[in-house]
Amino acid sequence: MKRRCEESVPLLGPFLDGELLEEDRAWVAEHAAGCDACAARLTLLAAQRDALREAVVRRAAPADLSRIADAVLARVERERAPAPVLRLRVWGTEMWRERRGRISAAAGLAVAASLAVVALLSPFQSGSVKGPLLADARNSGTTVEEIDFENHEGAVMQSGQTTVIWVDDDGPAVVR
Amino acid sequence: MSEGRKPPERGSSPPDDRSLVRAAQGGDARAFRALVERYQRRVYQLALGMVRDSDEAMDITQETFVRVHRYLPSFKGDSSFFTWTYRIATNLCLDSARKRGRSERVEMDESDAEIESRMDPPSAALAGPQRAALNAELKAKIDEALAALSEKHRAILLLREVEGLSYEELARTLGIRKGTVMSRLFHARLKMQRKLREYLGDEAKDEGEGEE
Repeated sequence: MKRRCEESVPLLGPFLDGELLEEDRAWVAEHAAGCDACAARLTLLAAQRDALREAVVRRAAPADLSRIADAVLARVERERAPAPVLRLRVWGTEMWRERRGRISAAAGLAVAASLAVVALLSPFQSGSVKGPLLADARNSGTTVEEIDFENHEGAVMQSGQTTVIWVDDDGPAVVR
Repeated sequence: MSEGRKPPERGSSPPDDRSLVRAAQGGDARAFRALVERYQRRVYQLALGMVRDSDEAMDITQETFVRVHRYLPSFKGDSSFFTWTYRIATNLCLDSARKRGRSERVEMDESDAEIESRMDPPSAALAGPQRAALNAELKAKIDEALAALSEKHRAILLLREVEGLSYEELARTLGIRKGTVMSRLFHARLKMQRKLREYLGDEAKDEGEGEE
C-alpha cells in the first residue's frame, strides 16, 4: 500500500462531508484522481451514505405524524396543571379555614364526630396514629376510604352530606 | 418533505427557528406547534433508525418534544434549536436502549497495528458495471447493517448521513469533541462496510477496525 493512501483514507470521509480545510481537500482530490483504490473507497462511502439515507427515509415515510403536535401539547397542558395532591393541598387548606366554622355549626353529631377525627389527623399529628384514628372514624359511623396520593397518604371521610378529604401533610378539606 | 431544515423561501418565508423559539418561550403555543411540526419527521426518522420499532420511535418523538417544551425556558440559543432537539432525542434513544437491556455492542476490534494491513481497496466489485447492482444490494441490506451496529455508531451515522449534521453540530449533539466525532464517524463507517460485506458475501478485506 502506498504511503499516500495511508494518509488519504482517514480523510476520505471528511472530504466527502465537506469538512476538510481547502489545502487538505485539494490534496485528497488530487490523490483520489490518480488512485483507483481511494476513488473506489470514495464511491463506496458515497453509495453507503445515499443508501442509508434512502433506507431510513423510506422506512419512516409511512408513519402518520399528524397527531404528534396535538399529543405533545395535550401532555404539556397536563404537566402545566398542578398535580392533584398539590391542588388538594391548596384547596383543602382554604376550604378548611373558610368552612370549618360553618360546617361545624350546621353539621349533625356524626359529622362533628368525623371532623373531630379529622382534627386529630391534622399534619401536627404523627402519621403513626393514622390507623387507629381512622378506625375510630369508622366506628363513629363515618365512611372512610383510604387513598394513596402517590407520595402522600390520605383518606376521604363521608358522613351525611359532608365529605372530608385529608392528605397527610395538609390540613383537612371539607366539602358538602 | 414539508418538515426539516429548509432554505428560506422568498416572499412568504416561514419564520425561522430563532423567532419561533423566542415566541414559544413567551408562551406562544402556535409557535411551539410550528417547531414540533417542522422537526417531528426528522426526530422520528432518527428515533426509528435508533430503536428500530415504529411505536417506540413514535413515543420517543413525542417525549422529545414534551422535554423540548419543558426545557425551552432554559434554552439560551448557544446551539441551534435542531441540534439541541436532536441531542434530547438521541439521549432518549440511548436511554431507551439501556432500559431494554440492550447493552452497547462492542464488537471485536483489531488493534491499531492491524489496521494498516487491512487498508486494501474496498472491493473490486465496486468498480465498473457491477457498481449499480451492488448499490441495489446495498439498499436492501443497509437496514440490517445499521441494526447490527453499536448505539453510538448508529447515532453518529444517522445524524451525519441522514440528518446531515456538520461535525461541529455532531459534537454539540453528542456531547463529544470534534476530534472524537471524526474518529467515531470513521470507525462507524468502516463497521457499516464490514457488515454490508458480510451480508453481501463480499470477501474483500476491511480497511480497519477500531472502536471510537
